[in-house]
Amino acid sequence: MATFIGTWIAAGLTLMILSFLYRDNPFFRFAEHLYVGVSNAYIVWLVWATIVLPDFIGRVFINLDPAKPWSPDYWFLVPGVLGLIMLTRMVPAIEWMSRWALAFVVGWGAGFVIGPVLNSYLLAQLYASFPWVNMQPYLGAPASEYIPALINAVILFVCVVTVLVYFFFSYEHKGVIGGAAKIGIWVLMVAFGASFGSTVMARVSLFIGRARFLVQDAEPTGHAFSALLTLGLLIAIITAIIARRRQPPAGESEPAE
Amino acid sequence: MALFTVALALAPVVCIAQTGEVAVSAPGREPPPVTPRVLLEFEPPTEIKARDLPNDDGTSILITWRRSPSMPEDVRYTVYFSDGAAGPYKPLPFDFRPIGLDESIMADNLQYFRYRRAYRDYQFIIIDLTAFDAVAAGTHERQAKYDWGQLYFKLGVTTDSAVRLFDPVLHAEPVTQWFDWSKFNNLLMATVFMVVILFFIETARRRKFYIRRIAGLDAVDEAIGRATEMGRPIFYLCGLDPMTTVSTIAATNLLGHVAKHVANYESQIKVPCFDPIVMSVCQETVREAYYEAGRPDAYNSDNVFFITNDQFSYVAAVNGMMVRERPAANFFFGFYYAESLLLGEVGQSTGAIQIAGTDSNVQIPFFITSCDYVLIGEELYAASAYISREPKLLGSVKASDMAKAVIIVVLLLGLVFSVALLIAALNDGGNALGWLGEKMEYFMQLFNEHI
Repeated sequence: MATFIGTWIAAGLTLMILSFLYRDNPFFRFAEHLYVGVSNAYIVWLVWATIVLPDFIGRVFINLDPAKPWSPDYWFLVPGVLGLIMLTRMVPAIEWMSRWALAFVVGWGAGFVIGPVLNSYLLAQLYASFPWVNMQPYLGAPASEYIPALINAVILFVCVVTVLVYFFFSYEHKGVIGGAAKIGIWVLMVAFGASFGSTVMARVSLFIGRARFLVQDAEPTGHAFSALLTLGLLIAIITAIIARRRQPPAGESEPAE
Repeated sequence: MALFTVALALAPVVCIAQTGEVAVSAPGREPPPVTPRVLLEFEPPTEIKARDLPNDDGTSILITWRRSPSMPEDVRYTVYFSDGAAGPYKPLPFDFRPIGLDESIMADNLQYFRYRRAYRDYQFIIIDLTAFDAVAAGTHERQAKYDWGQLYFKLGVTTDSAVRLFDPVLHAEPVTQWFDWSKFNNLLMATVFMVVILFFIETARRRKFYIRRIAGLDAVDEAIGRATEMGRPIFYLCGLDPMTTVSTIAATNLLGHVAKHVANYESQIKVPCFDPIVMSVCQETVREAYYEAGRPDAYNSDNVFFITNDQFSYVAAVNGMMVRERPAANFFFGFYYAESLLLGEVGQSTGAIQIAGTDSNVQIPFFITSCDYVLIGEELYAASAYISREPKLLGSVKASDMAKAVIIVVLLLGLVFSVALLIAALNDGGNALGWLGEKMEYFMQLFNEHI
């Protein structure tokens, strides 16, 4: 029974969020505020239970597992104190102290990414662009496999070089550089188009999943009501979208304040 | 005794193997009546050795061997261990994926081996010794911790039902290294790049650098002016990634310039944040921008606020605010995930002028469809320099262009070498260019991620 009620609450909140398709309304506002509040509460608990308790309190002050031998590890005081310093932002007189923690986070972040970025964004992609590397599996293969793979490797190489040229900022895109940059932006657009298509398919799949939740999980005893609910939901969504489209643009509906 | 208990608890069937080549049953299976012929019908691998894993923190050892050409395809390599040279040898007490005949060849892993074509016949397995401790700790019997100095190994081959172990007994002492030489190319590139950046920063102080027009950034002033005229706020989002990512750093950097313009125009900027650390940085950035603009009185820290650290509730809240407050301009800079279209579309429906900039390849198309201007990838990093024209930023943009030019030269060299190697390999698939071809391959391997 509890599961049934929970499912219906979830279904109701889903519909409240979907009502935003028409316009802002009290139901959406209620669901929005509830969603933000619940997610914040959950994250506070998550941080406490998975970070603060085991990695700070559990390592410095208290043995959380009496079955295991334990000794305090005072190194964990350093991040703990830095974290506490962040809270000084709430006291204007000592607010400046929080900058130490921020400086540490930003400095560490900027420094730390140098290695991984060089490795994965530069070296790995550079290496993978060499035609010889791409052709390794096709060495000795019949011409029907070898030639398409070779064409593929050459196209990949040309795309990488032209896209790199597009991202030259200190040269005007004219002449040879301009031509290469134009090919580069076309390559980018083709890539974005492919990415857009595949992601839209994934989103449709997500919507189908949510619709299935609404019409099947919410009604466990049969599908007669579910089918009607599906139909009603689809009509409501389409009507909302049409109504929304017919509204005048936001800038024209209200005079500027 | 405790160690024996641990081994019994973790290995479902422990099969005792004497030293020398013997066959034992694999864990979780009944011992076969006779060793399958498939495990006896081929020559064993040769040059089986164990040594310390180079460039690590002294927690792993490396087992290498020259593969047997006659091994059938359904046989895979595995490793057994013992806490004494005499045995008994047992399966490793943690998840270990046996490796196939063509996996992990040395030539692809320059961090462990020098590049030689002949090394393609060698294979290796890395044994992480901390996994033994993790297993011991998991039993709640810390005294059962394995003594790394007393661990011995044997290489074997396995099918689904049986194992054949090979001589010799393998043992190596892990040694802690202070310097990871496998990352030396990173250090070298970073150092060279730093020198180039410093050079161009110094040059930028003396003379002007040209930066090509970036369409989206020309519209920033226009968007701020529009917001001022309409008396509506500007929304500035820094993405969903933490402060440790390049795009978030670039977004906060750009926020300073936008906030300065906003302060000059006496408009209002709102920065709803997803990450509390990013919020703190944004508050500092906006405050500093207002001070620089000579309008510290106009700064309101409540306009830079944290919403939640949950993706879709953050989107729901920002979308709600967009619809209620109807901002005149929305800036989406930083790294975004599935929420990009949700934000862009709602912002567009409110009639706001929208400028986005992200290096998230998957989300750029969604911003392109829903925003007026989009900064693609590195344009986001160059944006600060373009707006501010500060020598420091201009110098770094110029230096990154130089780096790209070097990359293109390397790519072209790689193309020439590739063509030569491919032509040479047309007949037999091998390298007919001899040592010269090997050097060409080595050049390309230098840029392999693993090195």
